[in-house]
Amino acid sequence: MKIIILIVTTLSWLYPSTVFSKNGVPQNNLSRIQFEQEVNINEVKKSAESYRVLREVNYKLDSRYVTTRVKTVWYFSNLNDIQELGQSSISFDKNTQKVSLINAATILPDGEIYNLTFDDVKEIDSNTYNVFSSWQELLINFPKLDLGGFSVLEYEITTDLQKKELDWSVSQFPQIFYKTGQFKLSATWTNEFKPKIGINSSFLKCEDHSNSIVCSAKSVPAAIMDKNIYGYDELGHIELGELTSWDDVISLTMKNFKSAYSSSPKHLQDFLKHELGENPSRAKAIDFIHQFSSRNIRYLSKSEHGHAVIPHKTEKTLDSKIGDCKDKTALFIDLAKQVGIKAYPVLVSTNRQKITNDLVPSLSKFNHVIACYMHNNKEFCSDLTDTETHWKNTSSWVQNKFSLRIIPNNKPQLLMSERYRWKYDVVTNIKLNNDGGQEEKQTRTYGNLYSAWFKEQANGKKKEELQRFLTDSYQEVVANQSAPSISISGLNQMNSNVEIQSITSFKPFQDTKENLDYSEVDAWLLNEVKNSYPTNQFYGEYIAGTSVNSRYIYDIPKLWQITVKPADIQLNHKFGSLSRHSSIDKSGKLVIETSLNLPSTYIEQSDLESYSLFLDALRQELTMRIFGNSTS
Amino acid sequence: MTETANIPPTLNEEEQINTTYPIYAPRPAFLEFILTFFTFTISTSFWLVARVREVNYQSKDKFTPWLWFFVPSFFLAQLFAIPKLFREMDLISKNNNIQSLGTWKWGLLLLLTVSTAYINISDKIELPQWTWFIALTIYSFCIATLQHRFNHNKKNLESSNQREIKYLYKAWEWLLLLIGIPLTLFVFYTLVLTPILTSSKEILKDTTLIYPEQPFQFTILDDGWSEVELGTHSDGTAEIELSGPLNNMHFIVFKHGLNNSLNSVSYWRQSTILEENSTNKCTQVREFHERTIDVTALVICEGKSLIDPSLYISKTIQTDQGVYEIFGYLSSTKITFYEHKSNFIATAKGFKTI
Repeated sequence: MKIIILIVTTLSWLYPSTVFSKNGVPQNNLSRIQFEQEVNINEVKKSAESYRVLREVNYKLDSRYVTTRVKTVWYFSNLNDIQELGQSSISFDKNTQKVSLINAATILPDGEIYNLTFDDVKEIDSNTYNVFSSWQELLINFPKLDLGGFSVLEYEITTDLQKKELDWSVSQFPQIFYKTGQFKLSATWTNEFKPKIGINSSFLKCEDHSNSIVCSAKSVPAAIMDKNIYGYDELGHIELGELTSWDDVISLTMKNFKSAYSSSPKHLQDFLKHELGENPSRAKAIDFIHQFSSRNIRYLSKSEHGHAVIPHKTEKTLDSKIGDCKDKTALFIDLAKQVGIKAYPVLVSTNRQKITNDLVPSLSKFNHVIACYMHNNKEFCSDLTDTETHWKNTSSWVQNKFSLRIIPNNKPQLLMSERYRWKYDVVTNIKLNNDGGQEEKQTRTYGNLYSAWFKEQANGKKKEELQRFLTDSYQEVVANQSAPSISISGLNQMNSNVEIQSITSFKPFQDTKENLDYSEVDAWLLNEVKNSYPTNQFYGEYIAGTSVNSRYIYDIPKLWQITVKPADIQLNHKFGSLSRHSSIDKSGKLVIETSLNLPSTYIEQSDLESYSLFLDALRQELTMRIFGNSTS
Repeated sequence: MTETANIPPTLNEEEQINTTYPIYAPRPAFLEFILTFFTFTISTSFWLVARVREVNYQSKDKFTPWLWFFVPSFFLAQLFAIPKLFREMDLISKNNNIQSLGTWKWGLLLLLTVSTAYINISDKIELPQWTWFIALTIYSFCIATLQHRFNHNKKNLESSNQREIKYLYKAWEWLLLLIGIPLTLFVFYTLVLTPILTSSKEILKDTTLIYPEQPFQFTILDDGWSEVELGTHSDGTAEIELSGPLNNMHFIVFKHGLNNSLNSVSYWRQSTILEENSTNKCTQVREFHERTIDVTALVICEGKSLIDPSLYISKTIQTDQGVYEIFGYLSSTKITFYEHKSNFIATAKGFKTI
């Protein structure tokens, strides 16, 4: 009996090892006859463009394993596409998945078949800076690819659901940015594992059965590419997953984080007492915990098996001073809890900016986590991997991103976005000299996220490099022929504004005996307007808000009597506003105050052109003109 | 010889009876009409002072002649003063056995005060130019009629030393006429005849003006506008010219073409207005037209034209065919100016692309 038990135990232990054996060379050799049976070569070759001839995906689901078989055939009609698509990559978790290559071959233009060998396939660790994980990549290079040739890749991935940290979910896209000849998807499941299925592709035709689904699409045109889009946000697709609601994702994440929180928080409490003393104010506590979690905990992701989505214990993170987003977030939440602040994790997808194209709940939709909490009846969210942004602001790269608060009954939302993400003030004092030249003293004061951006830019730069950077940006924006003297302050503290001062002299350029006809472009405003143009043509685009207040103070000598001041501007539109007013102050100086306000907004595709025209209109009005009569 | 040169010393009644008075001989009424009409009533003040002084000879200095200098100019003064004069004239008539003034005198007073009131009001409210000439004619007629009555009295005075007049007008009157006649004719021609003779097309209130092949439109918000010949208000380079209900009220539409920008046109316009009159206060504003993203440049300069308020307005728009500008000018008496100002500005502001 004992022998039987031992055999059974051994076999059950061995089974996965057979499943997760070494990934090897393709098991089969593809024959020409086989290929020609599947692909009408002559028909395909009529195409002037490269395209995905076939994408066939089959899922077999049971309560323990999911077997995914994928077959993809590409046809190449130009060298750029060969360069771009001449290799494939299969990512997998070495602890929970096994990949088997079934067929991998290059079809030469004359129809000859080259079956890939061991040399053409490489298995590598997933290479991300400062991240240690169990993820592997199988790189498949297709040699001999040429115009008129094909690549064929067929593989199978088996996933052990019991060992998986994340829930199982997949997305498949009948339409991609290349034409697709044929798309087939089928899934079969047992009664124990009925997946949730979501479909929003207009190209897909599906047949539902009790334990299976079969979908197909033919001749799917290429989706239009654009500069600033993410396929998940825009393209119709089909999703399958094991979770049925977002509450499942919330419960799973809560469980993961709870396992990281300190069970006996004395260590954390002692630490906070040491750093903050007794009864610190709430704001002071937040400030310290935020700064400590973001700056004192060095970013290093140790996400090997067991910690792909589960944070390390917070005591361990506190002691090692090492952690990734989930470790830092867990530490922040745990420390905040000790001072009575109820913070919670918020999952974020840093690529996605739409919630409308989401079909099936899954933890795998997210690649990042931050901490949020209520303070003075307002929600604050901190990305603890950001070492420069003050706790009162949310890091720019997570604003307006697909997110899920880990609070029961929540649904995905776009993370709050500040109305004006990029804000600063510019004060420029210009003294026109009696010789026709001028002296300019300019002070730019950057707050909030813009100051964080400057701090980040200054990070690691030597003094000379920083000086060069500041001079270059001044010359690029204001005057490329100038030699400004520039200084910067406020870089060290998270809560401080960054102030950049420049002093520049300009050689005589006005004839002092003639009437004054002076013009000056409000350069920093122009720079912001230029940077606000949408880059997309075919898809809507989110524009982060900008607000700049500019104040020019002109000290004009008695050589001239001002007759015409710059025109007042009251350009108000749903997209934003530009306003300007000029006046003479008590000391006789001409003061020109201009405000540019471009609130954060999503520009629909139909409005892209209007938005650009709106910015064109603002650009035209950024030149200030001053006329004066010569008094000599 | 002047009527004021030999004011008689104060005499006792007996002496006075035997004294003759150095009063003017009667001057034909039509000459008085001409003088009044062509001097825009200016001569009337002097005329009335002289007539009152003559009455005073008979009335034992009842009146203060210089005070009567102001009576011809103000209808309220006339309402009080003229009846007194009539009463005195009637008394003199009675004393000299002359037929007294009939009831027609009240009609005359009415005509005189109404025409004076009309001329007074025209300083504040701009009225049709031709009506002003009618009022002037009536006024001159009233003065001529009074002159006729004075003549009648003089001829029948029992004791007077009337000096024969050897000339039609005195030197200063000739001088006034020399200036006044051509001036009156010129004013009459430009203000009354020109608008009648110039071909114009009347535009009804709230009419939106759209022209074939022109990329702009605007709506006239007042009555009394008409489209006039090019060159009426501009140097002839305009696209459209409109005359308003007031004499100094017009719009001109200019095409500045593709080589100019809104900014260059509006700054140039403001500069030229200031060159013309540097006391004008100008504002220059850029706005989007309604909810569009079409930037418009608006220049408004306010100042004075002699004593009347004046306003220049220029709105510049960008069209497919280049930059177009509507340029307007309004100047009028104070009340009329403010009555028309808001609609005038609103009409210019409504200038937009089609």
